[in-house]
Amino acid sequence: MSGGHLDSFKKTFSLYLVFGLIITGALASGTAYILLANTVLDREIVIVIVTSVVIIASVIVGNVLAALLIKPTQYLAQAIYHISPNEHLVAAPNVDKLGVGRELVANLTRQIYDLSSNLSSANIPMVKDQNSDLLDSLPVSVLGLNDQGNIAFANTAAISAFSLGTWKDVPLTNLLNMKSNSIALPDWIAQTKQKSINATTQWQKVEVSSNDGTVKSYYDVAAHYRQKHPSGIETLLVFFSHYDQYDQEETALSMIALSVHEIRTPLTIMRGYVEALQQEMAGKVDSQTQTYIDRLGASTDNLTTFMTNILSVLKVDQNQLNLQLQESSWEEHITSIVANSQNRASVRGKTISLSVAPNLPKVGIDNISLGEVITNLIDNAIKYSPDDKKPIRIEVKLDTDGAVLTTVSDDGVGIPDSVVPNLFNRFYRNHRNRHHISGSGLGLYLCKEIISAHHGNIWVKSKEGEGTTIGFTLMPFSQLDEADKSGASNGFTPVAHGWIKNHSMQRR
Amino acid sequence: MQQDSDNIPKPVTDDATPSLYKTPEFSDIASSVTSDPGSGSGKKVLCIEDEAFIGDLYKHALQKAGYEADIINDGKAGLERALSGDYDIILLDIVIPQLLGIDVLHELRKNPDLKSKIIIATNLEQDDETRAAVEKEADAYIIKAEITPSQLVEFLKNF
Repeated sequence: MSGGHLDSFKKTFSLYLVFGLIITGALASGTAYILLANTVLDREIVIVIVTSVVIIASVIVGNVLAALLIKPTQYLAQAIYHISPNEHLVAAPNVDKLGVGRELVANLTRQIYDLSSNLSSANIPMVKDQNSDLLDSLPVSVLGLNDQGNIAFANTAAISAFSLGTWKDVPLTNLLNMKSNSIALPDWIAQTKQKSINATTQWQKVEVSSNDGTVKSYYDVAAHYRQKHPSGIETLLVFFSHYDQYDQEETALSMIALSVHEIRTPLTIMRGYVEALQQEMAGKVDSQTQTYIDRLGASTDNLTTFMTNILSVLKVDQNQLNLQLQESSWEEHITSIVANSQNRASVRGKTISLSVAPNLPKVGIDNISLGEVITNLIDNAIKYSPDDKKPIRIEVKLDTDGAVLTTVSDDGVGIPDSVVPNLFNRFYRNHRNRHHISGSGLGLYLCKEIISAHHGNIWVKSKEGEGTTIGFTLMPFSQLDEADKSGASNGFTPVAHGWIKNHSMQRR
Repeated sequence: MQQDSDNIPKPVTDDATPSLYKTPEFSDIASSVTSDPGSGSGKKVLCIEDEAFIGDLYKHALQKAGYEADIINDGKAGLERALSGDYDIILLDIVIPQLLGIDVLHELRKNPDLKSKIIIATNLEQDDETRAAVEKEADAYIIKAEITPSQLVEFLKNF
């Protein structure tokens, strides 16, 4: 295998050499040609100048080639120093940074580490009988995975906690489903494999459930990875049960969901009667009464949006905000959302202008969630531009990278610089700024999560006293479709901010 | 236990289910303010709803749009009435006395001859799995707080 890498390194190096010689030759002939054609210099002087050029060019090319040649050796030396017991302060080389000979050095480095690992652990295999006994007596669950991600070891606690029947050499993902808010285990292993020989990480509040539906609980999980460990166990997982603590949190969340149900019922009634009043009283009441009714309507709409925000944030937190990405005309969708928001704007003396560039591609969006994003951005613009009568401007156009860009701008109070970095965080994180910025602080957090799950970006541009523009991008459906196809390989997909099983690579 | 396949947010292009949650027409419906009298053209709607004010609002809006509307405020009586087969559309709340809306739905689906369209109209927030299961069994699923009576009437035009 390394023979192939060596050949390829030789070829690459020869190419550089030939390229260097050609450049030197070309410089020499070019200089000679220019001097002879355009000057009246003596032949001797021309020869001296050309020779100097050749010497300078050769020195430069020689130095570059020497650097290319010496670099792999430096990396290999660093790898050896790294594993040397006397030199353990030397960091492992980052082979990714190497230009020429990367494969060769990566391969040799791995072999160096393998040799070292074999030597140091030749006499102490990981899961010998006494160690296995030791692990079996632990009250925490321990699983060992081989280099294929199949279970190679499970201690007694794990077998019992996860009701493992046949587990030996079965892929972990066939038996257990693990949901967390950060990178999924298989992705972490895959990334670690590329970069490191040893690595450790941990996840908090991982929902672990068995695929047959019999077990569901919450754990903090620690993982240790050792590439090609002689015991055959490449990844060691330790599960610390935190069921009581996390279950209480879940119960609290259920309580909120229940409260939302109770609030929604009177809200439904209020919205219904406000609408009935608007319809029945139209033209029969004086304009002031009509204004009151409209304000009542706008306020119940705001309350509805707030309730939706609370629930969506809860779903984000529980990794349950799952999106149905459909091929949609963004122009049609945003036009109707803006139409719905006009009453809320008009009761505050505002108008909304919408301008959409022609011939935009269809986008892949979850209509309900994107409705929440636009409604929140419009509500913010209304809230933060109380004194001016200029319209809130919404523009939709094609971004330079082919995404569909939507911006919502107001000429309102703007946002203090100190607040901007925290703007997309949840409310409790920037509660000190409540006096500057009113509102729950849930809206923009939710917008960010929803746009991220659509593989888009969201940003803010604001100047205090001059106004704010918030923009976000949406990917054309055609690109999204391709991402879905190519990402299906390792089986994970984005929910709002977490990962759940099914495809990957398309979160950002 | 979460079934992975239920959670995959993949692009949905062919969407035959006329669910308010899923259809792109949702926002068009939501933008309507007044219902068109006569759009119901005498269709019969059974509303199984225990909150009297909501029942009253829906009945008023439906009748104004030309529907015939009956309101029943418990699950057991609602099921009996629904099984009569007299109704084109059944609006079914989930949290109702005597028999839960979900159970009413299960019972109704045991009768393949029943031609009524069943629309779940609830304010209950369920996890996505449960909701997906109910959506699959019903013809549509709406959150009452998110639409006004006239938007509901507009939505019923799809059935």
